[in-house]
Amino acid sequence: MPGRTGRTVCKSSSGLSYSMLKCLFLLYLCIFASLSLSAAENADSAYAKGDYLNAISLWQRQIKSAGVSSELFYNLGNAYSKAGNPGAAVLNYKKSLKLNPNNSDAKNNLRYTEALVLVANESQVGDKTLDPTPEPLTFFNAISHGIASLGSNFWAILTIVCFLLMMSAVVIYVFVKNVRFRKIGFFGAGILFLMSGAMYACAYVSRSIQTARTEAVVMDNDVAIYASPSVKSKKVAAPLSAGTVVRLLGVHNDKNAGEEWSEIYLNADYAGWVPSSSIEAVSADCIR
Amino acid sequence: MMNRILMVFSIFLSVFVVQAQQSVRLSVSPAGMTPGVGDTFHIIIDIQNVSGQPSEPASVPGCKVLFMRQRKVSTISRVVNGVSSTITEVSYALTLRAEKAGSFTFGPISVGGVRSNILHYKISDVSSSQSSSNQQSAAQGSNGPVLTNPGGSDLFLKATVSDSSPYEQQGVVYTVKLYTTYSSIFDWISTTAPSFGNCTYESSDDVSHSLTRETYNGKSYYTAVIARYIIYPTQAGVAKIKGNSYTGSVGRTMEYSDPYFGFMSKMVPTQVDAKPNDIELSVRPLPGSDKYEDINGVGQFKVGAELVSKNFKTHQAAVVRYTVSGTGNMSFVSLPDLSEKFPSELKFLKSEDSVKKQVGASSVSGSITFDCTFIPQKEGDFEIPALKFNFFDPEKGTWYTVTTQSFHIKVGEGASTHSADASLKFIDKLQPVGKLDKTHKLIISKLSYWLWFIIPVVLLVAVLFIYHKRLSLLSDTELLRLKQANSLAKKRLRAAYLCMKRKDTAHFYDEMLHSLWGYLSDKLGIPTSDLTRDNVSMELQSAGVSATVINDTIALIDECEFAKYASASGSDMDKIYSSGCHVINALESEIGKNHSK
Repeated sequence: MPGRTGRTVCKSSSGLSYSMLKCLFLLYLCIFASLSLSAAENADSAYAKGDYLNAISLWQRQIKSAGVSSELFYNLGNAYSKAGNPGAAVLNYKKSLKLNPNNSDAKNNLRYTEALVLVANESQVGDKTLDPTPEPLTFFNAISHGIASLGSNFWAILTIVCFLLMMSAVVIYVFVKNVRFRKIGFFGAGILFLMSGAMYACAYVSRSIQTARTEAVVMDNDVAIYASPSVKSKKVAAPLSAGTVVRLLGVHNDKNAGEEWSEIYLNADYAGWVPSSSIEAVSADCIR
Repeated sequence: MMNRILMVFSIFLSVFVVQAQQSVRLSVSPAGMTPGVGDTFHIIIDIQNVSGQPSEPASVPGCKVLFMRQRKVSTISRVVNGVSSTITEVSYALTLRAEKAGSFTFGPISVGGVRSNILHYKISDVSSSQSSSNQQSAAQGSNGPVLTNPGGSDLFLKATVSDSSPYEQQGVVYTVKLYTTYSSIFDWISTTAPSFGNCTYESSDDVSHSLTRETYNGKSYYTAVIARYIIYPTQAGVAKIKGNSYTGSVGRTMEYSDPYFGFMSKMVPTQVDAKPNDIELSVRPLPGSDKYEDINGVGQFKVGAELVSKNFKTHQAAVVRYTVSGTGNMSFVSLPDLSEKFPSELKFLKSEDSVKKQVGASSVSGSITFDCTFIPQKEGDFEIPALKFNFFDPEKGTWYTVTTQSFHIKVGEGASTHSADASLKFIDKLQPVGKLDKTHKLIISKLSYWLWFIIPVVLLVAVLFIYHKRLSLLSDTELLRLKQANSLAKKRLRAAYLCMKRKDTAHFYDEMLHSLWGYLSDKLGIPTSDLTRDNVSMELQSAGVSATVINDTIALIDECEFAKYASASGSDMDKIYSSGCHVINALESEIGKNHSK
């Protein structure tokens, strides 16, 4: 008898502990969820209060734990901009637009910040006759950037729509007896096939632009451009201000000095080498 | 004879050489001193009766070699009993800076083939000049100049300040002047840095490079300003100023009587260390400084303002220049915070200052220009506000506020590319963060994207395949109908067929007739009892059946009836059955055709 009671007691206790564990687990889940939720809210309220550095660190933590989104990068860009760091602001706006090229707020604030950066660069020029305006894109690049500004996903969905329309045109051609409808179906299918091919090409071009690592942002103020990857070489043009977007042409690893240099290009005047530490590539690691 | 003379001469020489003792001796100077790290000291090389000079050693353990110089030369010539002897003494000073603490040995060195002694010396952790200077100032107490060895009153340093009780931030000129009776000084270097207590300082280049004559305390000296600093006390209270220690060589003029030429003078180089007197400043606080928000300077100043840029356009940097000139703490003169004072439409960017100053004996004068860059953000008329520049005049002990001119400027439209940007506004609103993800796959990169193409294509192909098959079946209608007709005839003639298989002749014809009449009654819609050979042909004709088919039908019926009663042989059964099938098929096709029409 005592053995039996013992067993039942034991069983009931294990059952209790199991249910308790379950409860605890749920509780933890709730707390965790509320914490991660409140992290976003905290960052928003910190931003509203003007505590931009705190907002930045909260959002950065969120990026580490949960991941990224176009909106989060936009918020970060705003906070950096308010905190007086145009370099990081431009970088984050750029990242935001990589994830969603249609984020109009990010587009607007990027243009605003870049206009300020251009003014800062112009003030660095001094007596020299230099123009720090970025070189305009070539004709084909402008077209591909125009295409990419709608985003790869837009074109991909458009491709599917065109393709399905083409399929229905084929069905009309095959099954409908009326000659006029059959004609429309036949030529419609041909045109829609060509169109879906073109849409796919647009989606592909957009993707290659969205995932490219060809751009970099100057992160420090007064970054001098050198003619060759060495501090001893001649300085080119005028120094660049933080937030300048440059094209990244190549990287040179100086093994002796243990320093990495990047070749950048803004326009014909502003082209040369800067230490890689003073710029940051607009990376597309989070986008594939 | 010649040999004898040579012999005597050689004996004479040998006596001379014996008498002239050769030696090279190393010693530390000042004697008995233990130099500390950072101190300058000397190793003296005394050379007696050796022709040749020591080479400057590349390195001395624990020390950095600064330079080596000949210190003194003495030649003593004696004539005793007709024998003249000469003692030549040359002394060199090797000036070193102690760099590492510890015990070291130097030498032996070799000069003209003669080896020196080995020198043992120690370097301590603590700089002896610091500790000794403390002792000195404690012992002396007064602010009199410290006279150092070996010059005594022949060489001393005197430190003076332009004002011993200055106000805070007031620039004070601190001058170290050398007084000496020696006619030349060389290799004069400072061995320790000066210490200025609670003051910031900057050194001035305005020092003498040659000696001038001056009378001090009734005695004539050669003097030189060897150091000049402008010091700015940062705190009210007592500020102690300790001067540098110096070391160098002086040329001492020595007079002697030459046995041949009588009184002569010559210069003997001598190593000297010297240190100026310490000075205490009693710094007074700026009276009533709490009344002013900005203290822009201490001294006497004039402030001017001018617009460097003449035309103003949006988003083009323009410059307004403020010039502060006068005497005072020129390096610390500042402008009020312009980013607050400028209207936000004229965005203040930065101010760059350039200082031009002269350091006089008692004050610093000069001018500072502040080039303030701003960028007009909008078109319109704006005012660059007047600046209030507050400064304290220590001579008069009062505060002054100078107000600069204000400027009205008209901002025009800038370059078109920038005016477009001027319409841009920063969007402050945040966006909801949305769904966060570590990696964002574009739709085109997903595998499922291709399913949108593959699935419809597969579906379409499948549908087309089935449809095509069905279409081909439909197109072959004759075959279908024959198949269907045959199956009908087979069905109708099934009983007859079974009889034929059994070779039951009697029942075969019965069944054939029964089946034919049954079929015709069904097809024509007339009961079997009302059907006769005559009306059948008529009915069939009216149903549109061709005459040959009607004739065939009647012939078959006749044949069957004939065979039934004549009991014909079983060999005809196959023929009759197949013609029955044929007739039924023909009727079926022709009646059906008429019906469809």
